[in-house]
Amino acid sequence: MTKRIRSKIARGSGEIAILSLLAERPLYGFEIAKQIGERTGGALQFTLASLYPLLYEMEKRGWLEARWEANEAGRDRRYYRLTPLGRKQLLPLREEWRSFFQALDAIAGVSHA
Amino acid sequence: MRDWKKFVSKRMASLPMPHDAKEDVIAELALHLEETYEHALATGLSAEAACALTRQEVEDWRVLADNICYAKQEIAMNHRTRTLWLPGITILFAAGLVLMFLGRAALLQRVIWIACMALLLAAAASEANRLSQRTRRFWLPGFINMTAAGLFLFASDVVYDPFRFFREVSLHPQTILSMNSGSLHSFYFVWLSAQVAFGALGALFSRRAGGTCTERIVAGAFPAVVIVGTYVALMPVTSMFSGRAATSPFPAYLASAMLVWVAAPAFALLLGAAPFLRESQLQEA
Repeated sequence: MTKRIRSKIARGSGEIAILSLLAERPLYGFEIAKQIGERTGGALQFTLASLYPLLYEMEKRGWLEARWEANEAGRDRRYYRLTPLGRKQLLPLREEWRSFFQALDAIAGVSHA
Repeated sequence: MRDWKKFVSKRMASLPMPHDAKEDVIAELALHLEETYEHALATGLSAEAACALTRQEVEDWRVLADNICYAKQEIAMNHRTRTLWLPGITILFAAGLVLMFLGRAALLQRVIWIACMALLLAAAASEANRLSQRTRRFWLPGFINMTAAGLFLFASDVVYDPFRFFREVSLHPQTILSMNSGSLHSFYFVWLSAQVAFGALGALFSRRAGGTCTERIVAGAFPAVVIVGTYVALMPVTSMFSGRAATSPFPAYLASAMLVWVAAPAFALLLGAAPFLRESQLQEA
């Protein structure tokens, strides 16, 4: 079983996780949290308290836009989708994280841990 | 089925946002909780366990409200704040400091402090939708309380002796403590009694904005807290500049100042704040 990552580390990775998911298709808050949990085998988990301030912050920056729409079950949900500006952030963010892991690996050997 | 919207509404009542935006946030958070709850039920948990699990989504609702408010607010200050309020307050504050170090025009200096606080309040009002929870429930009630106390002191001074404004006589704590100053005693006790109302005002504003018990106490006793800070930070410097420390019994002056201008008003302020330290019935619901 994957070990759950502590909240401070998880919070830092939130932006790239959300942008990557929304690059595939629009999702609403609960789905975003659920997908992050499922795809990382539970290592990254976002609660309501950690997810929404981050979504609102990204929306304010113009990376995401949100709209109330009915989901498959006909219930209204606030769907988030990537804006062109948000899409532009993905590549540099991925590069940044790659550099970060390389740097961390050089000092702490995390890839062999 | 639980009413998650009602659950969230109660906890986010003091979120400082325009009504429509706030309703949007509340609806979205409530739907998230509802879905978390339903998902937990679907995994086979009992209703109670599912409810407990759902509640774990938020550890501290006040912190969440702060974080949402911060996430939604604009980063840059508005034009008016940058070009009017901040320079105005800075200049007035500097003018007050100069007067303080010169040791003259005590009443004029007080007027300037009051103007500073009034300007701060006006600045805060113009940014009302961008203020954090802490500012709304702690700093703002404190400043309202402090401004009211300052205004009352000034008005009492003028009413007590209209010519005093021109003579620039200051109220020394040792004069008040001595038993030979009957008229000053009456002035001091009227002022002291008024602190009860100011303490109540500060604590009430703080409670209405969702302040904790500690925040209400500090907001209620704000004038005394500021005076302590002023004495501790500025009196040694002032006396050094005026050369009084070498010639007067400075520790005795400081002790009497603390008693007259800090301890006694603090007691009166807290007396006024006391009824507002408990949660109101509305917040408890």
